[in-house]
Amino acid sequence: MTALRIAGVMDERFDRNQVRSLTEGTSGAVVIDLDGVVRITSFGVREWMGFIDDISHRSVYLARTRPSFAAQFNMIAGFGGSAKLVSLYAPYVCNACDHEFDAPIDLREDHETVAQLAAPARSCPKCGEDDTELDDLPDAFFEYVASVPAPKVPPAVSAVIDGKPLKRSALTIRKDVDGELTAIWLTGTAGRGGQLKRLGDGLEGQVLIIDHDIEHVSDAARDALVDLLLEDPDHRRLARVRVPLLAALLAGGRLPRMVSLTFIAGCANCGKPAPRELDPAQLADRDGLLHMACPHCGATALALRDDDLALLNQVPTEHLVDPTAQAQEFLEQHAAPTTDLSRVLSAQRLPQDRAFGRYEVGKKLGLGGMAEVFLGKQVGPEGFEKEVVVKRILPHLVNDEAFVQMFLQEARLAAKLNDAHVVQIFDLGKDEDNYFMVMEYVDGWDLSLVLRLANRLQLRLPIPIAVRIAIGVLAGLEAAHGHVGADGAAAPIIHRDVTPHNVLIAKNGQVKLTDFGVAKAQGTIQTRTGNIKGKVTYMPREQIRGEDVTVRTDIYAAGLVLYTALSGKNPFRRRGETETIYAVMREELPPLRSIRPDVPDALDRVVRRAAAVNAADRYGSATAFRLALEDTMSGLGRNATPQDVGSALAALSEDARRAGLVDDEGGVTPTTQVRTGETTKVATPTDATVLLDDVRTENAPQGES
Amino acid sequence: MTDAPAAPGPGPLAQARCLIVDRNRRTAKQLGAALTGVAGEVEAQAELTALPDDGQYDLLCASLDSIPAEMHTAFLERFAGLDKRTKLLLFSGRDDREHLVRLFDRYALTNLMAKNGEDFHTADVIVTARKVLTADVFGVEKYFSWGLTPRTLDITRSAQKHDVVEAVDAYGQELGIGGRFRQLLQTVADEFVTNALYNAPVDQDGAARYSHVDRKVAVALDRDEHVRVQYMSDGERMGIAVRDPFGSIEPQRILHYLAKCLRGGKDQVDQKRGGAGLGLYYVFDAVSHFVINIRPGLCTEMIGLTDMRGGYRKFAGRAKSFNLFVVE
Repeated sequence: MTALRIAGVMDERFDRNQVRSLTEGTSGAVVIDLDGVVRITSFGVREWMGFIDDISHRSVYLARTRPSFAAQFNMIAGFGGSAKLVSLYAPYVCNACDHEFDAPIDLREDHETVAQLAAPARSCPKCGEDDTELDDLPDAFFEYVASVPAPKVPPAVSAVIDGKPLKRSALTIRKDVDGELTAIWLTGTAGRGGQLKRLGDGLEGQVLIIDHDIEHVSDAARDALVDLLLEDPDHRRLARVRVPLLAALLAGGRLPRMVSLTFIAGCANCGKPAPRELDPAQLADRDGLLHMACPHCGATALALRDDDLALLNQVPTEHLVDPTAQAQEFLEQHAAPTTDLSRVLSAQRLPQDRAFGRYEVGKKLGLGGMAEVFLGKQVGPEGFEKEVVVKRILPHLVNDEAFVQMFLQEARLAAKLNDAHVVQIFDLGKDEDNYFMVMEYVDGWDLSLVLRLANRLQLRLPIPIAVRIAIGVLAGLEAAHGHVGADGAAAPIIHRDVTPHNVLIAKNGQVKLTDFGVAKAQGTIQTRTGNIKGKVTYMPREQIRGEDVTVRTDIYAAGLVLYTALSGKNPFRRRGETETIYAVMREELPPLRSIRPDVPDALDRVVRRAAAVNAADRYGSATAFRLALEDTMSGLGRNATPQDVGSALAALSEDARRAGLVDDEGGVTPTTQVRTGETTKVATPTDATVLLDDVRTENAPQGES
Repeated sequence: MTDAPAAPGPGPLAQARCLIVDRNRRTAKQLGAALTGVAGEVEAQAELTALPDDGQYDLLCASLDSIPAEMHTAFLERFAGLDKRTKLLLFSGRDDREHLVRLFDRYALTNLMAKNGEDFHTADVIVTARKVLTADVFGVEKYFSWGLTPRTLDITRSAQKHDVVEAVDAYGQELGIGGRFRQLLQTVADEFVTNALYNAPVDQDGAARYSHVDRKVAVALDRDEHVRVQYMSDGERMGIAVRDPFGSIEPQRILHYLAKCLRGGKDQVDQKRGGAGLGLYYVFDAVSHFVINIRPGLCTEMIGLTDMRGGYRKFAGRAKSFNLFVVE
């Protein structure tokens, strides 16, 4: 059996041949989940019908078609070919509250009703009233389904359509090592616990065990896991604990420390479910758990279910703790193991990575919590080739409207900026149901890596080099802040996440600002009030307070980046995010000279003014800050050129290679020069990924571990 | 649209003769009042007793249900079609496919006005009558109140289609239009733009430039060949218009395409890359009023008006209007 999920607008971007290829090499039924198809065009109809015809030798079942797609069966003769329509969504409207919603119609159960050209009764998901009606003409909307018999669906196909796993998948373990932190990802069914017992062998330092969708845990496995965690409770913690594991832990009576719990919340407005990872502060706010922002419709109507709240009430608060700063950063940056684990039902086959649109895709450069980044190549006639970077949303997030909008926003804003100091966006495309962005390839380093390598080598960046890099950053900000809208009026773009990670330095010393993933046009409305976007360690106090961001927000961050480049460390970085926020909000920035005495007074003053607590005390523009830096360095007679920067970093890279900190093959490039969004983790020598166990979820004996 | 049309001055409108045929006295009166502001002479009959000659009137506004069944065929053969001297505005509340196929394909009817009982857009009748009687047919703003201005986008590349669809959708969101209507608007914008960029362009000899091209392949027009997209709303209706600078589409072909797709036969969806048929059918389904203005060899404007009053269910239950104007 092959299960496919198709999403997005079915238009010229729907590639019939590509989708058909996903069914090749398999036999049996083909189940197509169409829930994500929002619209179909006349061209898409041709492609779709061709595709359905291509696989007409198989038994094809169609499920969860949205109204716009379901309507095609009535409009176009032979639209579904020989496929059986199993379920669809019908449009309803509530007469009590006017709420419009799509209600599922399962033809295995509802066929008798709709065959009478009548709409089955459905309650309003918003107000709960039963006074709802089909928001269409029943005889027109149900014309097709009434004309065909009720679908006969084999149990195995029904199981796939209903989202039930055919059999439990074996426990899969992935392990990421990030400096002193070891992150262990657990997925599937933990049976006898032997694997978990062995997991503790040789485990040192901070350990974060992440529930990456544990389906079931036996008592033995639970006890082994708890033993492992309680062996060193100060350094070993659980994260993203889901209901099956949480219930098992509570039943066992011994609880480890947990940094976050994950629940599937439901939206009272649109009726859609959404997973929510909640930290201790969020979990303590019980009222807040009933009024979360829905990623699908934006309404503040996402709430935990009563059963989950009851489970949560059984968890003593002392077992919910903040993560360390390193663990926090790791969790922010990783939604999945660095070694990608495609969790699919045993019957499913998912699209393989290949070309995105007209771009050939090479090796993966980075994987973050939101997106992944590939080295790509644009190929044209007569041997034309251009190296590019292709960034796309992680496949499991393509239906998360909030992520998609953030991704599109990044593309839109960055595309408006055409400046040598900003990484250029060449193209925005869509491959299947996933957007991808094509960006300029910068052959070089990111500043974060440069600083880490320097620290490991116990070196400091030469002052003129650090300042020249900051000047490049400010030039990029000048372009963003000086952006002019189509109407000729000033339309500043605020980056909001100026950090060393987002500063790329090409081998020729050219500095470029990247990752406008959380940027916003000044004056636009923040969609999720109160959400802090960007990295706390480089945020001024007003941004943490959730106040309006301005160009001075970026000035502060640029100042702190320079401070960090000169001193070697961020002055506010603490073990946990709470402590970090406390430090930013309460502590003064130490004089640079107290950390690095060779920093001239004049430069110290410039940096401290840029990073002043009060926004009004900072430079009013990136230009003013840049000029102050240039004047200061000229006055000191210590200006560096971009070429000096390139030479210095090449020397650093060579030192790192000799010291064994980077490998010969790629050095620190190119895997380290791109960012996949606010949650990206770059691969560094300390980020080695260790694959412990490559158990495939397919064909694993039930319950084995 | 609430403003009164300009009174006919000296010229063709002042001399225009109009006959209303409607057995519903209320709507006949309403139509008469509206058309008095457009035409010089307005007569009304409850039921057609004898077929007028072609040319006896300039404009014939007739409800189909007021034409005796035995006269339907002769009536339509005499007055439907672009080549007739008496221009026909046929009012009908039926939107079943068989009926529409017969009107479009067999009789080449070019002006069908929806009349759902006593519910019809008086303003649209005025605008349409005026367009029938004059050569002034272009512009979506004609269907909206004075003072409303459309938003305009000029495009030359197929890659910009998604920007157009996004802009139209954003406008719909701005107005608080519900999801299903916004999908219809996206469909209209998508199909119009696809048609204007792939089907409409012709070279100097009138040969199609891109109609054979796979829609997956990007195409571009010269700057002076830009396609103009306009959209506007008064809160009750949303209008989208796309104008290409070619005027290449053939009126008979439009009617044939619509009839073919409405018929739903085996030829409804062909697998050839070009052809605007299915797209026009999708637009027809997504709008309440579909207007096509053609100035042969110069420009084509397609206008889709979607009536959102009373919600989607009412929209789905209403008959549709269709007008095809060809002016020199």
